[in-house]
Amino acid sequence: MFENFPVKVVDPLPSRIDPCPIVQAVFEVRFTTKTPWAQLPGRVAGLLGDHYTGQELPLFALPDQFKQQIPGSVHLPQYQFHSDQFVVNVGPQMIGLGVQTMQYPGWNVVHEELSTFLRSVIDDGFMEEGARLGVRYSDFFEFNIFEHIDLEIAVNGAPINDKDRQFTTVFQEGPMTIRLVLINGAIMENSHGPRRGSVLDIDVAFGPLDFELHAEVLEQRFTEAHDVIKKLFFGLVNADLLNDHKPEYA
Amino acid sequence: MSSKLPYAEPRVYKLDEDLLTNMDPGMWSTTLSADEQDLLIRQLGDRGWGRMLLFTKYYTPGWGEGNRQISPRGQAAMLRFLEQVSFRKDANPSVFLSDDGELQLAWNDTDGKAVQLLFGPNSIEVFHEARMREESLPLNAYPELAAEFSHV
Repeated sequence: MFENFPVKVVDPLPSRIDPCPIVQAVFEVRFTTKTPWAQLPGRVAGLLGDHYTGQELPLFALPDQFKQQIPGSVHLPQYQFHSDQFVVNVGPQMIGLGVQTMQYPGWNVVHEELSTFLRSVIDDGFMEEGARLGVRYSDFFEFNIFEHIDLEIAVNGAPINDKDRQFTTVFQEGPMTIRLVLINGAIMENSHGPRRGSVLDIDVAFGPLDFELHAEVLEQRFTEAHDVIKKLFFGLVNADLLNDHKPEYA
Repeated sequence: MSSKLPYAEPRVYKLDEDLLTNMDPGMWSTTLSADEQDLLIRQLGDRGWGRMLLFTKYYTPGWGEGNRQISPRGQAAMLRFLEQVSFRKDANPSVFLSDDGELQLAWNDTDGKAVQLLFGPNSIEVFHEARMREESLPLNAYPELAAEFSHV
């Protein structure tokens, strides 16, 4: 049960739903480092297996003077490695493992890759001090998500009849800062082609005093964040949506 | 400006024009949240808030002559200390950034003697001139320090 966002408790939680709405899942650490940015992509390349291929992202080529004008640019990815299933994003003060868009392979596979990835990165030691640990899952639905969740927005006691809607809320649960974003005016190209639909986006983060730069601690925090996202998702969606997605229970 | 920049990680979905704001990557959780800024304004005043904004936004790695950026852990510990401490009405604490990225809070006690708390990545250095106290404490000692230095 969330103390500050009273969604229903679902127990047991489904282990899988079909079709899987997850279009993006990212596990990211922000940090300080003494390693110059020019050296970091090469260093990370040496940590990943040959099945990862590297490429510069658009921000990489911009002059430093210009990048410094972009808020938080040190936390934006500038170089990316990708394998068949995963991507690794690297920026001057961030590194993150993500799944390939719309190819979420399930938590067990993600967890295994995450574990290997974290051990390599921590053993290398280029991260000096942890600043933020975050997990973000983005889901896409080809319908209006606000009609399928247990959350209402009312004006004068009556539901609003708007055209587009974006709902963002940030709340604290213990050491976790949770940001929930719901949007019903999104366009995404999926296996059916471009579709208008809705996004349900959950970001869970730990602050610098709530994790240590040890592989086991990071793995534990990422797992906790994943579990919270799962509970929040299933606590939020209504029975109709769940039944339409053929839930399976382990 | 930001929505037109060639961001490195385009989102997997696009938004209606009406909903584009607030969704650019990198615009989240970069330096100080609204809650944190509000805390700084209440405890350190406009001047302290302004200095912290400068430290967090513009004192990037290597500032000055190879100095270090703010320690995220030191910053978090100082903010938690500020949440709990009750400063004397005319204490007017000042905040400084050290060359090593530590944050220092400094003010004079009721006898005009110096109080300095230095928040680093792993410890809080305490100096209280009146008591000839100079000590290093772990970061999680901020609740005790907040109680000890309230109304001092």
